[in-house]
Amino acid sequence: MLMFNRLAVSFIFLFYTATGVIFSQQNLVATGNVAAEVISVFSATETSQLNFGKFSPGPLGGEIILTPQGTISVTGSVFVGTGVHNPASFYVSGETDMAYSILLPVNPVVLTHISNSKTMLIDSWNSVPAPGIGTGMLQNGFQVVYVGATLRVGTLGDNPVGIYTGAYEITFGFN
Amino acid sequence: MNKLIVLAVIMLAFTANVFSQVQATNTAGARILAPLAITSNVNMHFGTIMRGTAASTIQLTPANVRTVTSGDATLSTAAPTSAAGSFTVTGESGLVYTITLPADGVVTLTGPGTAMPVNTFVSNPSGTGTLTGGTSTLTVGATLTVGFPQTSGAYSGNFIVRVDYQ
Repeated sequence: MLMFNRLAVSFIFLFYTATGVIFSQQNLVATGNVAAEVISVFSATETSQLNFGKFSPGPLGGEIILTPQGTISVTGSVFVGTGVHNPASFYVSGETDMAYSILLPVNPVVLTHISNSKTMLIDSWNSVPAPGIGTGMLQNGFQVVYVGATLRVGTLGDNPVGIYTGAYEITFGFN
Repeated sequence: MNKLIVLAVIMLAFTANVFSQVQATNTAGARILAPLAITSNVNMHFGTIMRGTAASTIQLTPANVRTVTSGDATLSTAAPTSAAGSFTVTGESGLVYTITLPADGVVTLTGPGTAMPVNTFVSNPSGTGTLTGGTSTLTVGATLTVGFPQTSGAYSGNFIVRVDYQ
């Protein structure tokens, strides 16, 4: 009886082996391509602060307009004194010939007197290159961006003598 | 009396063995399978990566989600954008197939700078897949190591995916 069982088992095994030939497997392997693109770090640093310089508001107040090119002009009774004034400048670096975007403040930025609560507003932000999506270009891997704005000055009572400071945010970005 | 009983038992055993032989033959003859095949549809791409100040690893999942898993590289959505590898497997409907992905240390991307290794391949489905309706889509991800300093530019390489009937 034992011998019969062994025979039966080996018979089944042979049949399965033979059937294996029918497994006609084809193209079991595929080659995929894999890739990556490496670019330089994108960064921006402020190299000079926005500075409207020294001025006197006069009896009526008015505006001080500082262009990204560094030209200053006034409206109202504002009188600009001697001294340094300059646009803000930013050093932007990254991958050569890469376009990037410049986003300036949308809402007015508030400057506050360092020793009392008097304030002034800065608005009408502008830049060279112009603000917008993809307006900057990193020729040779860098570019300097100049930023100007308009400072709105009140009367001498609204804006007493002193130093006013504030912070604003500029966003440089690329996709 | 005793002798007669013994003989009957032997006959029964003999009959049982004959029966099992017939069954085995029938099952074996019915098994014919459609050929199993795999083709590459979408190339894997880690997309655009800004190198950091140290070596970094970037994980790409089979669902095309990128993560910086070490280092300080940053991911850009600028072109070329990322993509998980995608393959189509065809074969006998309802059958299960096994998936063999590249082992670590096998795949590197070459380009303008030092070659970048690609390891920890993962797939969806993982390990095995089912040929529902005779076809199955296999997506593949992996982890890329960007060196430091890594020269800017386009890097590429090949990897092999194998499937077998389970």
